[in-house]
This record gives sequence, structure tokens and C-alpha cells, in this order.
Amino acid sequence: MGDKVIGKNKKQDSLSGLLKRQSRIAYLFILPVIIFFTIFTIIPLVMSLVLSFTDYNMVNKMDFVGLENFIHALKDKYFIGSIKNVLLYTIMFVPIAIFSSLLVASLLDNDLRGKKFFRAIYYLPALTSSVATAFIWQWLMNPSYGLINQILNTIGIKGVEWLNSPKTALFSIVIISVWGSLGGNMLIYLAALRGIPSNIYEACKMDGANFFQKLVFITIPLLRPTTYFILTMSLIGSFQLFDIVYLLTGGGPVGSTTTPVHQIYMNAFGEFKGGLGSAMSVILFFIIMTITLLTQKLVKENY
Amino acid sequence: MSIKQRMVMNYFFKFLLYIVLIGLAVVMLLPFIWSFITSIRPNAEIVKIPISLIPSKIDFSHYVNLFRDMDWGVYFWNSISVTFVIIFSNLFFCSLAAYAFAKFEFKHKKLLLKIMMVSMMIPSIITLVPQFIVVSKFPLVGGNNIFGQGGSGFVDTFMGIILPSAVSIYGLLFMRQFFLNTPKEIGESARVDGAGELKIFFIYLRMVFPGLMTLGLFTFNSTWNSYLWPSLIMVTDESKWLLSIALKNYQIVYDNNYGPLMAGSIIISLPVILVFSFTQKFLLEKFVFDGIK
Repeated sequence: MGDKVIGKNKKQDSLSGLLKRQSRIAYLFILPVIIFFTIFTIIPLVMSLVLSFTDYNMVNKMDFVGLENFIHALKDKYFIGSIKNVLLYTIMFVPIAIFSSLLVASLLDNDLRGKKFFRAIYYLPALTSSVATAFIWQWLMNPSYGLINQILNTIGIKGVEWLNSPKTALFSIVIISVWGSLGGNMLIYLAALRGIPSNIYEACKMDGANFFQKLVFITIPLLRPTTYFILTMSLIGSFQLFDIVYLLTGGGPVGSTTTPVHQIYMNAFGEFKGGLGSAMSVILFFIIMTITLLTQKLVKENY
Repeated sequence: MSIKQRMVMNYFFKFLLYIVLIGLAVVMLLPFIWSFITSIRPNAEIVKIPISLIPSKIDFSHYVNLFRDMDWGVYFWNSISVTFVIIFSNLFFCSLAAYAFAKFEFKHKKLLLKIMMVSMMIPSIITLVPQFIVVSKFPLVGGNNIFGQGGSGFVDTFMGIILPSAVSIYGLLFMRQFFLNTPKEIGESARVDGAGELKIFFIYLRMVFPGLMTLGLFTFNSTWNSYLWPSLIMVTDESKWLLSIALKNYQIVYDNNYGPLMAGSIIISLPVILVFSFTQKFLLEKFVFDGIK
């Protein structure tokens, strides 16, 4: 930045010139991301709101219809049913997912041989494409020839209908989701466990605490921020359940596994009711926001 | 309790721990193992009761049939090309913006960051329908006029899959954490030496290599495995299917023929598993955590 002789004013001038130049470069550097972000996120977000008040048919027809789509959506028994399904799914999936990943992470967070090996194996399902996951589990859960029922039969338990019965289909999806999400959440927990100072555990060991005491009184309270993060992400994810349902059951049997996203997909891309689909996604958005904010409030009040 | 007793107890608990961990590993791996076994056993054995765990002979005919029935080589190549373009554009554009957000001062920086963070909390489903409209009514492409009418836009083109995923706000915020941890002085002294801004960016980019690797792996995984969006974009042109679309359509056409279906599931899973096992050391827990803070 040059000459030491330049006066104070000149120095300031060159400094502001530098800042100007820097901010020009910064705008240039962020430009590509801003353009893509605007076209593929911001504009669709605004459009989504507009479309939900129209009868857009995915091709050309688009008239303003007021609140009709919202009224229609809230009267639609499939959409309401899908919200009930996803609530039931969330109540089953989220606690199991959080508890199992926390347990596995704290088991792995010991002085063990082959720790990396176990970690890699537990993470494997998280790497698997939803299409492959769907087919593999469809085969495992096949009521007559599937491995699971065959094993159950061998040990004298009558096989379950799994995905083929409205009573068990949603729970089967929960099992598959837990299998798929365990590894990712475990990695996050393991990272958080590393951040706990080891002298806390040493003091705990001196006092003769066992594994479960350690887990309940030290690990779980210290991991609260991480648990909150995983809880929020799992809630948001659960309410958007789609791939596995679409690929495995197509929402059936008798609508027992259909989800809001599946209904949005069917209405918008199956029946070309773009307006109705958008209204449903706006409703889903408000449900997700409400639940996220409620959890946030609950967590903050209790601690 | 004497020291000896204590040690025995310790060993006992360690033994139990290994049993639990190995048991869990079997549960997590069993779906893969079983689908692999199914894919290499003769057809008659697949639907036989009682089942046998070990195939009577190894039979690769399901793989052969799969490749005979559909152009898997083409789908494989399509998946690879689309995935690599998306990885490259994410790594480059997200780093570029992340670097600017970490190292430069400019107007509205805080506001822009805030908007991006909020946008990450909005479920992606809400933009599904309008995003499809944006892609299919894109002006002046795919036979569309300036108002986006008349043609099909980016539908049935690879660009239709690539463009909406070309950058990710998650990637930007993730890379920003890494750039924030690099020293300011290096850029300053390079600037004094007369280095161009792009060159300085590449100096910093080398320093955040672990972050790039991790983001690259995440992007690879999510792109390779994506199904919903590609299946909406690739409607008519069969030669442009990705692996995931092809596998789903195979099931529709050939019904639940589990031999070839399991072979296909193995084929689609293998690349991700291979890439991750070779690059596992980059996927340290630390990076996973840094990205979410």
C-alpha cells in the first residue's frame, strides 16, 4: 500500500479506494451463487405463494381463485389423512432415531479397537440411494419369501405382513428410516462427544459411576445442544417424508402410508393441479414452522 | 472390589460391548449382504421355502439379464456426468462466494447471510412445483419464446437436473466456516506482492482442501442418490435416464423380479460405497460438525 510519505488524507483516500475495490470483487465472487439462489429458490418461493391462490394446471390456465385451494385441501380426506400419517410417523421415528444414535455413539466413544471400522459400517446405510434402499427392504420384508419373516418363522414367531398391511406398513417405514438415518446422526453425536473434556469423565470414573449413570448424568445433559439440532432436523425431515414411501408403497395400502409431500406430488404432477399442490405445500410449511417453533419454545422453557 | 476383580469386570464389559457392536454391525449390513446373495443365486432358489442362507452355486445371470434388458452403461455414464458437473459447480461457486463472505467487507453482507440462513430452514418441498415451472418455462431454451411459452424449457435435458442443484446455500455456509479459520495475513501479503484476486482465492482454496473434500463427498452422495427431481425432469427421453430412474422403471416394467432388482441395487450402491471407503479419512467427525454450527 505504498509510500510512507503520503499524508493522512491521502492514506484514507487510498484506503476507501481499496475498500471499494474489495467490495466490487466480493460482489463479483458472490454473483453466481446469488443468481442461482434467486432463480431457483427465491423466485419459486414467491411463485409458490402466488400459485396457491390460483387454479394453475401446470400448462397454461391460471386464474385467481382466492382461498378455494386452501379450503379444498383442508377438506380433502387424503390430505388430512396424510397429515395424520406423518404425525404418527414422527412420533415413532424421531424418539427412536435420536435415542438409538445417541446410544450407538456413546458405545463407540470408548477406547476400542476397530472403532473406525464400526463407524464406517454404521454409516453405510446413509450412503445408499433411496431406490436401492426401497427395493432391498421390499425384498427383506416380503411376507412369504422375505428374510425377516423366514427368520421369525424359524424361531417360532408367525410372520408379519409388514408393508402389505395397513396396520404395520407405517411402522415398517419407520424401521427402514431408522436404519437409514442412524449413521448420520451418530456421526454428529460422535463429533459432539469429542468436544466433552475428558477430565469430566475421569472424575466420574473416580466416583465409580457406571456406563448408564455416565450416560444419564453427564453425556445427555452436555449433549443437549446437539440433541436439539438433531431433533429439529429430524422433525423437518419427517414431515417431508416422500422418496421411500413413493418407491415402496405408493402411499398404500389403503392410504396408510401416504404423506403430505406424496399428496402434493400426486396432485401437482399426477393430476396437474398445480394450484392445489402449492396450497398444500404452503399448509405443510406452516405446520413445519409451527412445530419447529413450539419445540424451540419448549426446549428453552425447560432449560 | 479388589483390583483383580475390577479388571475382570472391565474385560467382561468390553466383551459385552463388542458383542453388541458386532450384533449391530450385522443388522446394519444384513440388507446389503442379503441383496448381494439374492443377486448371485439361481432364480429358482430366490423364492424357495425354507430359504437357504448360502447359494448352491454362484450365478451371474441376473447381472447379465439386467444389462441385456436395458442400457445400463448409458445410465451409468449419465449419472456420473451429471454428478460430476454438480460437484464441480458446487465446489467452485460455493467456495468463491464463501471466500468473499469470509474475507471481504461489503454492503448488505450481514443481511444476505441472514436471508440465506433463513432460507435453509424452509422445507425444500414448498418450491417443488414452482421450481418445475421455472425449469420448464425457462425463456429462450428448449423451444420456449421470451415469455417461456411454446416449448419444454429444460425438461428432458441434463441442464434441468444440474441447474437447480448447481449451488447450495448449505455448501456456502459450510465452506465459509473453513475460510474464516484461515489467516488474513497471507492474502494481504500476496496482495502487496501484486497477486491478482483470483490467484489469492486459489491460494486460500488450497488451505481449505479438507473442507472441499468433505463437501464434495456430501454432494456426490446426495446427487448420485437423488430420485424425485430427476424423475420429474426426465420424462420421455429414455437415453437420458439416470441410474435411479432406470432402476425404478425396471421394477415397473419387469415387476418384482428380485434377482435383477437386487443386482441393480448393488450396482447403484457400489460407487458411493467405494468412493467413501477410499476417502473415509477426510470424513472426520470434526468436519461434519463444523458444517452445522
